[in-house]
Amino acid sequence: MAAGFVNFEITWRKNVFGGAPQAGSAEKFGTLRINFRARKAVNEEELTAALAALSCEIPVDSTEEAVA
Amino acid sequence: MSDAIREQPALDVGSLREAIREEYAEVASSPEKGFHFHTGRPLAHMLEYADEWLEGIPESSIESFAGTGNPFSLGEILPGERVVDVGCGAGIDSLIVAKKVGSDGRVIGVDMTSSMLEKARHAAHEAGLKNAEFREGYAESLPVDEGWADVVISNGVLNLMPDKDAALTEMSRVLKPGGRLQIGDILVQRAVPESAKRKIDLWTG
Repeated sequence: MAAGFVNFEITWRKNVFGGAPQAGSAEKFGTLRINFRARKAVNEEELTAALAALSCEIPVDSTEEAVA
Repeated sequence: MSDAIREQPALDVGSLREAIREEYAEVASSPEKGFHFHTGRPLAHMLEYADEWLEGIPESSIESFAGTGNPFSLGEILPGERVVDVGCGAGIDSLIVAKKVGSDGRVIGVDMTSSMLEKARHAAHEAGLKNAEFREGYAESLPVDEGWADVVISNGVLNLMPDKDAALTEMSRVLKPGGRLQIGDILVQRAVPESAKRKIDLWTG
């Protein structure tokens, strides 16, 4: 929202990194592919209203041991 | 107490960009090599790209596809629309857009890797898609006029940017009010320690 977007939505998430030709770090961090969309606010009023309504809780599970 | 707290060195953005550029230059020049991520037609199939989207797209563009999602599943790209593709690579998504928007629409693909842009330009010419243009530049400073676009798409690029706020601010800048953002990318389910964020090989591998 800091960039002026509203109506943020993740529409799809999937773990599809398995099977890639070379090993990577993706699985250590539980990496998922996602699709997301948003819309640029049409005006300041819309953005202000969206910011006022914003509420988010992000569960965090820090894993220091994931770093080699 | 005399010990000084040592500051951790900040991430070297220039080195990060160079590492990313080198990796994706290899995806452009040697797509058959095999990488730590899926590429090409198998990836497009995995991401549910419709066969009809790929019709007429040169194989040189498809083989170097390295996206992470499907921006086209997030909303219809309509005839006549103007679209910016941030981190366009070898152009597969830009060329799909070019087909969708038709002769009254336009697409500008932006990338920082010159060998990818070369592939994209060649593919557009081969496909006869004159409404697609490719420009060299960074996502944090897009070579596109303010308010030009109806839609911004990006696929597998935002995760490679250390300053995501700057990139998203730029995407917002080039969009018209009410314009749409349609992004394929990645997220992590476990927090990445600050020490790991400074390791360039973890950004690219």
